[in-house]
Amino acid sequence: MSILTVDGLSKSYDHGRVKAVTDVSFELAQGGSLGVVGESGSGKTTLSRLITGIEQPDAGRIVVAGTELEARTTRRARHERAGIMQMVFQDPYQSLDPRQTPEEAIDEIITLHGGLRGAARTARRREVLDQVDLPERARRALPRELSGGQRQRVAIARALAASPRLLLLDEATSALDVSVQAQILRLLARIRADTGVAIVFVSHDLEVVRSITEELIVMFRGEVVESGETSRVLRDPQHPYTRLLLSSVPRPGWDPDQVSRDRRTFLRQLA
Amino acid sequence: MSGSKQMVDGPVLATEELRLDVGAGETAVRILDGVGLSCAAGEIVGLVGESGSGKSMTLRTAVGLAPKGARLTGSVRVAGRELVGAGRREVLRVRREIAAMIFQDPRAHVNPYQRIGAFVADGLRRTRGWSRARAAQQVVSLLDEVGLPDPETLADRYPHELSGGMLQRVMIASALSTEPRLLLADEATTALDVTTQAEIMGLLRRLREERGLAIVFVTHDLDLAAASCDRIHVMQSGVVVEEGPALEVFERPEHPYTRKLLDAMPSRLDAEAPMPIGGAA
Repeated sequence: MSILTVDGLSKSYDHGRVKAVTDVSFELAQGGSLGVVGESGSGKTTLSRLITGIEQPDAGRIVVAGTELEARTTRRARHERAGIMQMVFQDPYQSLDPRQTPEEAIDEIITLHGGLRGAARTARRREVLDQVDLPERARRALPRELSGGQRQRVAIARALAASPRLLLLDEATSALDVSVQAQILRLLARIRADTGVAIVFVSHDLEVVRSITEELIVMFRGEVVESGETSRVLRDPQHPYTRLLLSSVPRPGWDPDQVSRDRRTFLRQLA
Repeated sequence: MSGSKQMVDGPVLATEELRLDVGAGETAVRILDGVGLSCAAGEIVGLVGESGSGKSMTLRTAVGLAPKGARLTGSVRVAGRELVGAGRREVLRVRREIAAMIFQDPRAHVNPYQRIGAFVADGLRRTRGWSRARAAQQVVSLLDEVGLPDPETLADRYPHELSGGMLQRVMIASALSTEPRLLLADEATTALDVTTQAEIMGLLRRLREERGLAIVFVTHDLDLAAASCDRIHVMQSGVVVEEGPALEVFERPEHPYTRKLLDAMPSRLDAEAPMPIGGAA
């Protein structure tokens, strides 16, 4: 059974003049991992906002764990959805309450989604904070006293506290130093293995997506231009845009002028 | 190159034993600790490290932009002029005639109400005292040089009408307006899409060849530095821990920190591999 089904999703702005997402469909199995990769303007952020219900689609369906997301939801439906799907964004500083310590933030979610109190709540809180390897001292500190990596660990812990079956991560490691990013990616891989949570990982970074997902969709100007097994797509890209993206990644011997020429050729053929 | 500029043999930028301390007493912090680097004409030198490594601060000392109250010792020579202990006039002269800087977020460095042409003309009018008309002509040629299409029309547009990549080209045109010999690029492609990043890197390489610019390129991206720079310096906590030809450092890193940084690059990362020893960030 699939945990997330997106079917024929479209969204436009400015009275249909700007097509942000056009006819996007994919399916993510329970416990699976899907990368959504694209550049600015590709529609990946709009897609993530549609899946999380921040925005409503013009057409198409989103089914999470067998339940279709409705445009007008009751508080109860939103609460149920939050118990299934949780989000982590790029900037943890903006999504954490500046006056709340990690322990307090986690307690709040546990109470809300598990109804646990007292010793059971303390045990569950410990379990969640252990899962993200947050140092003891950081657990009672305020967000501004934490490093960027620690804040992102807290954001992930808060998401996990609701025991979701699906985690949507939108550029969740983009603002971090590479060594911290590596730690967070390893952490996510371990959490997946331990909890069986499915992930959707939205990113502009092909290499990051490669390291953390099994399935991949490549977006360009609102459309999915290629999809498939991550390793296959990156090893043997079929669509010219995927090939362009891959050749743009800097590596020794890289010829940026060739990339620019390929880009112009690609855009010309499109026009 | 204008004839008034004194040509000096040797590197355009050279720092030696550069130390920078801020604060006093118990709260004193050493930001840079003995940084030595050099960049010659026609060379692209990468300064690679994570946040707090001092890479941007090193760059800033070359244009006299150390934080207020900071104590700077050692040597920073730009085209032979010593900047440590130099007066404000000397620093301004270096900024006006020798060194220019570009940044990660061009939008933070433009006036949203100023047309592109007027922005790029600013430097020429201020440092050379050129008339509006004379500067405008030069602006069109600069916008053309950095590969912006239809420069006459573009000069009349406002920053919000341009994409991030186009605006970074405008910043480069503006940096070139004073005919610098040293271009300091601080994470200048970090905020750009990969395909746009390739275009900007291609442009910087061309400028290095055509103008003989010395370019110091600060980045956190070792893959990018290895792909684009002649030599790289790897910095950690205010210290250059490793330096050498880019490919050599990339393929045969000697310092443990360089190896750690390389292993963390997403291109080499296998997230499911066992976590290496080391604390949580």
